[in-house]
Amino acid sequence: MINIFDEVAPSWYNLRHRSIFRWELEELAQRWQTGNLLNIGCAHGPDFLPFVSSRLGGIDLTGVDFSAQMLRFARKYSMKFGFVANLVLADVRHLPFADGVFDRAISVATYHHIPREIERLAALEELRRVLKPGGEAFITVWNRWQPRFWRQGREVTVPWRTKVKTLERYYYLFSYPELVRLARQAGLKVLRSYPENTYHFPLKFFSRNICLLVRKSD
Amino acid sequence: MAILACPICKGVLDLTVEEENGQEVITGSLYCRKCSELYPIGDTIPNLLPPSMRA
Repeated sequence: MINIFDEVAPSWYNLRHRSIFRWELEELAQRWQTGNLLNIGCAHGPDFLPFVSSRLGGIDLTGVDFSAQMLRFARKYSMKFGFVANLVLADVRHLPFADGVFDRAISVATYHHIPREIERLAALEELRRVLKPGGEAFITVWNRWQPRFWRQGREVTVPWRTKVKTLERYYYLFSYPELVRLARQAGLKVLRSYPENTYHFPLKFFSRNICLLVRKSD
Repeated sequence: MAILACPICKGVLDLTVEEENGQEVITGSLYCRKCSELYPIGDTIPNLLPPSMRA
């Protein structure tokens, strides 16, 4: 699995150069103007940008990813856009941070790559552990009930084609109730569950992505 | 970074610097005494993957 993301990294850097959650993250950047932020599964770092452009007091940025190649591109990306982020090679199920050190966290399209429920729960428990009491986090994953996956099961592999080969990435597909339940099981309070901003159908349950805003209680 | 901890026991890590450029450690290591585990820092990026996941 690590090797796949190392191999995806160069084409990912080019084709996903800007965050596809820019609107959602900018909204959060307005809400979170101080403190520090952990980006869980940061890849090459595009989701840091909304927190850079809107910085007033300055928010301290840290990113973890388990692909060394993705982190090399993250450093290149931060230099290109003129921001500083502490980058750490780490596994999201075993975060290498002391308890209660982050005011905020984001995890964009990361947790749906973890194959077993016990490990998905472990990852959310780690997120809770490293947040300060009262700290908030934004989580987004793919939604199982988007029309694209109606005829498929809970687990899918999705190809990423590079110039030289096709890489099959594993996805576990969450539903809204399931992600909410897992976050609660990890001890997080769910403040809001909502679809991506570009989704306009009144019923949220068929959106492409599930967005969650959570808080660690005081 | 003072917030870093061992990915396994979450304990304190001892930093050894081999090469730095003033503000940033370029190469070196982080050592967990409790786990007797050495985590390398290469090219400014600490490798704090659990030892079983190291390439």
